[in-house]
Amino acid sequence: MRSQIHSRTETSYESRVEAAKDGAEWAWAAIYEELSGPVTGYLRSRGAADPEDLSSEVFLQVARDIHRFDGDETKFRSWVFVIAHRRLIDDRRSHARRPDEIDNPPDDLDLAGGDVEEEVMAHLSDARMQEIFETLTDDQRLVLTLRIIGDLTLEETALVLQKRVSAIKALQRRALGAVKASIERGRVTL
Amino acid sequence: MNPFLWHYMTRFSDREIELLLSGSREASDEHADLEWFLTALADQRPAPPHDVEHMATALASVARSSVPGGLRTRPRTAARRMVAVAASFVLLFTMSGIALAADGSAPGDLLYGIDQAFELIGIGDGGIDERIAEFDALINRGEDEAAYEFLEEVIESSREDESAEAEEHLDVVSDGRPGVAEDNVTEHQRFIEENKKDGVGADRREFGQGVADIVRIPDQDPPEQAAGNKPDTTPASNDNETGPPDGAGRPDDAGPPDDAGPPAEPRSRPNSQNQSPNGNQPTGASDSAGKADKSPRP
Repeated sequence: MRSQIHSRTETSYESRVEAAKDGAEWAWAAIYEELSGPVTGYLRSRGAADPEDLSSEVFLQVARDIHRFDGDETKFRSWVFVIAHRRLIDDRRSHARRPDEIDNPPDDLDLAGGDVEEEVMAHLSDARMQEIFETLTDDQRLVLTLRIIGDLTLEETALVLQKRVSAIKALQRRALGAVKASIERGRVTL
Repeated sequence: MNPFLWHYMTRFSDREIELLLSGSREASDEHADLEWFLTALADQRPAPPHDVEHMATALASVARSSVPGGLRTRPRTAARRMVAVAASFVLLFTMSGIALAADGSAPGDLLYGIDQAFELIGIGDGGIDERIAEFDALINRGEDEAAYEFLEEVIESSREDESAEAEEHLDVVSDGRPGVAEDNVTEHQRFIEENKKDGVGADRREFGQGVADIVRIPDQDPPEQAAGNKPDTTPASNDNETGPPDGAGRPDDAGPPDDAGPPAEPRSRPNSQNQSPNGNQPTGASDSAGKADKSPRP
């Protein structure tokens, strides 16, 4: 995916944004197709109650405010994630005041069955990954989420978090070191 | 810092980190376990959306409706709203001022028509009290004729209770002589109409004298009138006031003026000079205001 993104030239991306400002549907289709997955994944990994719904709100705000935007691809992607980050904070505050009464099961829960062994292994893998992920600090988790799930570059992540690139580098280095250490410890423990 | 963690951290170069995070297979085998973790983390990313076209249509529509011109219209809209509110207040105050000014007007005034118009829509409608006040205003201005005509119209067009109130006020105005004033008005009007019809009004002096005779309300009725005899004129210049002839009964007792029948010859209408028993000549209606006799014409 990253290779696809980097294959686009700045000129084509800027022309897409300009077309989106004019209300061209093809431009919005391209933007949504490229960014909706990372944005929704970012919102989900950060604990949004309804990531898909919140992601839709993020893109609606992007569409409303795109006339104020002026910049290149890096700035545009960062700008979209800044909006997502702020909407996430609002969503958390909203749910803190009004907690969900019913914890509904996810819609995509596969109740029909399948390859049980594969599912169990996948579940264990996810559980182990989550266990290790939880050992990281919040900043480390945030950087890894934006870089891997949000599919942002180092510079884009720095813009979203309003930190220097060197600070992002340090955070991701520590994060990967902590993950590797946890894996090694787990292996020793096992 | 934990020396154990520092040990692992120092094993990553910037390039290796970028390779790992970008999912490249070029990362060294030393970090294969990290690749497992990062792959599991990347799998948290949702599948590509199915509703791209539908969402793109909606987003494009939102973007089109949020053009910069739309942003500029907000202040314009707000400004228009403020101007509209200010204009409404100015209009309200102006209308209130006009209504207030018109409310105190009397028939014949410039604002009286406006007052009537406001009353039609329920603004400043004082009912019969206001009509009486207008009648008083005309009386105070010396426009007795207009006042009585006006009140007569009011009495005819009002409800029974309001008419009674107006008639009662008329009694009070007629200096405690109930029935005199309204009969006087009727007589007055009839005299004017008849003279108009017969062309007598050409002789202005005679005509004015006749009007003055009718309008004049006597201070004291002659004893003959109290006895039911045919009333006679009373000199307007009679200063020997002995109080209103309450005990003499209403002039109606002597019969309405119509009983005497219309004059056959309008030019023979009596003037005060011929009918005054003591020969006093009325000096005119203005001199005899409130003293006019209700004398049926012969």
